[in-house]
Amino acid sequence: MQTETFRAMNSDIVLVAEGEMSQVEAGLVAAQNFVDASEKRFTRFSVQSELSALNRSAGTWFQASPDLFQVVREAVFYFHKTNGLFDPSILPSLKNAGYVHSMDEIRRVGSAPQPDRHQLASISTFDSVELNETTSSIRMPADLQIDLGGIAKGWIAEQAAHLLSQYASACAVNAGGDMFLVGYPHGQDSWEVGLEDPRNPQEDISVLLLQEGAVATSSVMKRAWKQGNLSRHHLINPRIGEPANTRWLSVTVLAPHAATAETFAKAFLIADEDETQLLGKQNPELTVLAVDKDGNLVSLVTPKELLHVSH
Amino acid sequence: MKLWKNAIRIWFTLASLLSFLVGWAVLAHAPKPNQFNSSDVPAMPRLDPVPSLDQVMSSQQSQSFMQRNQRVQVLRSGGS
Repeated sequence: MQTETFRAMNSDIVLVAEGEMSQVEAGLVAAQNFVDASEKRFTRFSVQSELSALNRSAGTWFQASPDLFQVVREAVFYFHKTNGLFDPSILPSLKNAGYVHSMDEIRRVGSAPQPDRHQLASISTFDSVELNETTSSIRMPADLQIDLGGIAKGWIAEQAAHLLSQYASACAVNAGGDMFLVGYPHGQDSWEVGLEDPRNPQEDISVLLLQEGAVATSSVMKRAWKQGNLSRHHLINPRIGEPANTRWLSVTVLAPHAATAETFAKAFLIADEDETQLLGKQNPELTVLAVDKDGNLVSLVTPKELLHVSH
Repeated sequence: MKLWKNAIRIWFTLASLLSFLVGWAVLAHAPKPNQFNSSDVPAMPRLDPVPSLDQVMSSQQSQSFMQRNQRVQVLRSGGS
């Protein structure tokens, strides 16, 4: 098993692959190049990114690359699937909470600034985004600004894993907690994935034995900062436009696709009790694990038979 | 019969005595064992004193030992 670790998207990226050595090495290089190129496309912290160009073009049709078009289309789909709890149009609220620089930059400075001027939440909602499948064009309402951070990271992890799998018999891509697994390590019928303790990131609260597919964790402890006297984090509750006051420190979702796992991890973390029950009823195929403030690991939706959890 | 018994006794006595004398002579003419010479013995290395248990637990060596024995997951999901 060969491993490559590097920094991208303000996250530690881990590529793991098994197979013929020279082939795997070529695959690791290809996957890393893909991740780096995708970061440049999807980041909102660079005015040169395609996402920034899309935000600037709000109100008019924007000719998107196939990758950006696909991620925006999936974002619209999961906006509906999560009953609006996953909402990329919370960008003004994120900026108001101080998330105006990359997380690495905020960590370096130690705190986030108060906004120069209060960003008004858009009146338009994300489902008013128009997509033209024929021309791969997107038109957002003039007052809408979006951040594709989480869903783009999951999508990139899955695409990078598929790319790497062309060079390897088994592989995994972990993009800061958004993970996609292809095949199985030699002689094994599952992947061992440590589930990080949100109260103590150096330790695992559990080890999951996972089948192929995706796993994603959202946590209020990871991208957190101080803004004045206020403790802030990056998970905005779109109902109120403020960092969510959650029952859980982290939520982990297993799903066939990384975008599904990523968006539902966010949605279950933000959801109140009624919304959690509704999401669970609407999506019984998901496996959803949550860690509360006392460090208890609970299942919000019945785990699949093939999931084994060891404490 | 009595004469026969006395002959056997004398025979055993002489045989034992002769065997003893032959053995004595053989050993007396055998090569001498090497004499002990302290200069031929290599010097023993000096060993550091054994550290206390507290010192062992706090040392770098014990940490690396624990890490080697600790199961470290390559893949971890901790959130973003």
